[in-house]
Amino acid sequence: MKKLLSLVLVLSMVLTMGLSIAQAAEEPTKIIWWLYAASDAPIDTQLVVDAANKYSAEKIGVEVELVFKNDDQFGLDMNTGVYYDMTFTCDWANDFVTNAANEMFYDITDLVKTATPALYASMEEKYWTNAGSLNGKIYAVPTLKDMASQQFFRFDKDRFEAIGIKIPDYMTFAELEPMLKAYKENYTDLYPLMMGKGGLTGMNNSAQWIAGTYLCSPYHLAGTDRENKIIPFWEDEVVMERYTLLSKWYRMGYINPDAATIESIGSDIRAAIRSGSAWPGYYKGYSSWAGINVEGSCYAGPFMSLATMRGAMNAINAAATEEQAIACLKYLELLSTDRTFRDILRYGVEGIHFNYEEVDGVKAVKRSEQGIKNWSMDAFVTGSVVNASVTTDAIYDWEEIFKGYEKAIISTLGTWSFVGTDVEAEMAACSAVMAKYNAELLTGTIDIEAKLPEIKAELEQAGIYVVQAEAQRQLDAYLAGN
Amino acid sequence: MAFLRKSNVESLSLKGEAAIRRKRRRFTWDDFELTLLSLPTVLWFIAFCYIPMFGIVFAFKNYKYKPGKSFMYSLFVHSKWVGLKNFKFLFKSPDIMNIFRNTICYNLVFICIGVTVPVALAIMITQLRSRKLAKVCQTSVFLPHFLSWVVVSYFVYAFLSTDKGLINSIIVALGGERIMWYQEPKYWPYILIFMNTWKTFGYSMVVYMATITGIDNSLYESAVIDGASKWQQCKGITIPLLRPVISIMFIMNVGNIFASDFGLFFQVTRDSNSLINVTQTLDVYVHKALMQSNNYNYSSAVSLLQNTAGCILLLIANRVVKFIDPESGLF
Repeated sequence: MKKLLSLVLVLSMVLTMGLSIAQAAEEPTKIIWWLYAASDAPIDTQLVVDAANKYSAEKIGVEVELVFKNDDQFGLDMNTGVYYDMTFTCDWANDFVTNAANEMFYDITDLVKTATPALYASMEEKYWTNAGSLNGKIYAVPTLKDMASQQFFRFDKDRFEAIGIKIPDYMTFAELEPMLKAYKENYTDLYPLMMGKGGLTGMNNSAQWIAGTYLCSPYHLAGTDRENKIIPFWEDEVVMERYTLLSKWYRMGYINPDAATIESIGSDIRAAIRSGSAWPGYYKGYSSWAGINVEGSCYAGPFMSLATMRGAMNAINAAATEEQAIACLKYLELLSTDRTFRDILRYGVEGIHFNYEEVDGVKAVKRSEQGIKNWSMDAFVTGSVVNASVTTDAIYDWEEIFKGYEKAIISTLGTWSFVGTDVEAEMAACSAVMAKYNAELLTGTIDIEAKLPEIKAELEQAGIYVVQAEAQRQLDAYLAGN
Repeated sequence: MAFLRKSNVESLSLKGEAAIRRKRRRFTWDDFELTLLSLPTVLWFIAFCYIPMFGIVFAFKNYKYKPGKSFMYSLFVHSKWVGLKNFKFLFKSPDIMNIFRNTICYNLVFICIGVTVPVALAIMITQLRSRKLAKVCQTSVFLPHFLSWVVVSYFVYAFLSTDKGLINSIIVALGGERIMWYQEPKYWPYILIFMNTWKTFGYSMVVYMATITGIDNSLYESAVIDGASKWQQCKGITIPLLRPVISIMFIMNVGNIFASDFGLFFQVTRDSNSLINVTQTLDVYVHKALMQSNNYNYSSAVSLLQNTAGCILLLIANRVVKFIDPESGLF
């Protein structure tokens, strides 16, 4: 009896082991994906991830774990060896050039072409060779979105129209002044140009910044005899015009007095004017989100450079196995080619976070209350923006937006990236100087004309000209090589 | 030969003395108990103060993480030694003199206030006749110690906000002009000193009160019999007996003279750039300069410099205190 019992036990053990091995073989590959979050992770993350995993496991045998990180967390976690398979990287957070130069990312030059040809074909060659590459090797998959930078003012349409001001499609920065004046006269309790210490979002994107916000290469100089020159910000007329105007507007009481000390003005405040980088048609969809009728007006751009193309990308951990790397690429490929799947990560679960509706023959997404509240983030965070459906309140054609880029001012710096390892101390000191004045410059709190000599002198002592010379030397060497 | 023999005798007798001393110092059961008692503290210091000290090497390295390897491997093997290069950055700053001035001057003021105000208040509270009132006072001044600077910064903002702040509302109600507090550097040295005193003096006061409570009551009784007034009792008994504690607190504060309370100088001022000339201390500068670039090498270099200078000052302060009063030194 005992023998029989032990035999049964052994048999059952072998059987369960066999079963679990068989199960393991079928189990999908799991990848950890670090995403950018401006503040907190969305509330419904688990719900959406479960739905996405079900879909992707069936299609390509890959499941994902999403980890949302902010700017500071990226730096610390990348440098202390927390494991990830794929991470968000770009020009403005989790810096691509620094990480790629330090060999933190997986070299996908050949892998992306052999393992995921459809992903490779999903965008123009230039995005791979320019944006996703460093020193001729591809380290990241660019996210297809607005690839040029265009700056917009967003107006509170109803209030401006009530006082007889029509919002133009295009305008200049200086043309804002009469509008501010009229608003201030009619709505006396409000500041027409409310802002936090970051100033007007996107305002400084009219130049390609080489180091911090002190060395730049302005786009508008392309084609002049000053192109390919790296200059301090005070030598760029456009940047200086804006700083001067802001400082004038601040003194005229158009800007809230505490602008330089508050973090931001909060999305619940009915601000007359906000600003940002966007694309034509973007603000149509903004109205339902903002709860008021808004209208966008473009005041700069489109500009195109490495920086704008590197607006959002995904790179794979250099320590990942080839199998994991392929799984990551396959996942991005599915996001770039399968609209149903892309909509899950973009808008959430159908029926809970959104529903499809037909508008003018276009299948569009109508987001639910829960979708807007619990699964809301920047469009580029979870992959290709272009492959996602448009929303019912903003029907636009990406092909046309991309066609518009043909008239964009293109940076003459090509694929050159500044590597500042040799002037690190000077750069850190210059950044510290700028940290003192940035908020004041961006909000107009200081009188720029009076303060500029002081800022210049401090930057000079910190070594701005050493950094400038080094950057110019690297750029000249690059241009000579091409 | 004779000379040799003499030295031998001497060394023998020395050995004998050492033997006696050793015998006297043998490990007893009492020692064992005491060692056991100190064990948690010793372990705590080893775990959190001595083991992490290997991080000092950051200051002399150009740290680069190697994917797939451990943090230790990246730090010790993969990263290159760069000598003193990381210290260069600090002296590139055009503000460096200003930063040192702020750090040291604020700390000097804090030390002066930290010695006088809590001692005075501790003596005053122990003189209170009503025990209940004494307890209430003690608790209420101790309370701010438990609030984080971030919380305090919001309280301060509620008072000083330009548009809706309490103080500005009062000023406007009285017919005055709004003051943009966060843009006016001239007020901030006073505000910062006031806030720091408000938050920290309760804690040191408790330390002094504990010492005062420990003073033998018979001293006061005999003083009263001799007809000493309250002031004379205080001057002749309380303060002299508090001196060792005051010295220890003083020496420890001097050791921290290059460090500043980051929360006070960064959070309470809401990181306002207009105030930077009076609020930027070493810690704030390091945070602002390095937060964006994640440069651990530079920040380690600065903190090493801070600690070394602090350690040297602590030794000097201890010497000075011992020179004035041989009984009161920390070690």
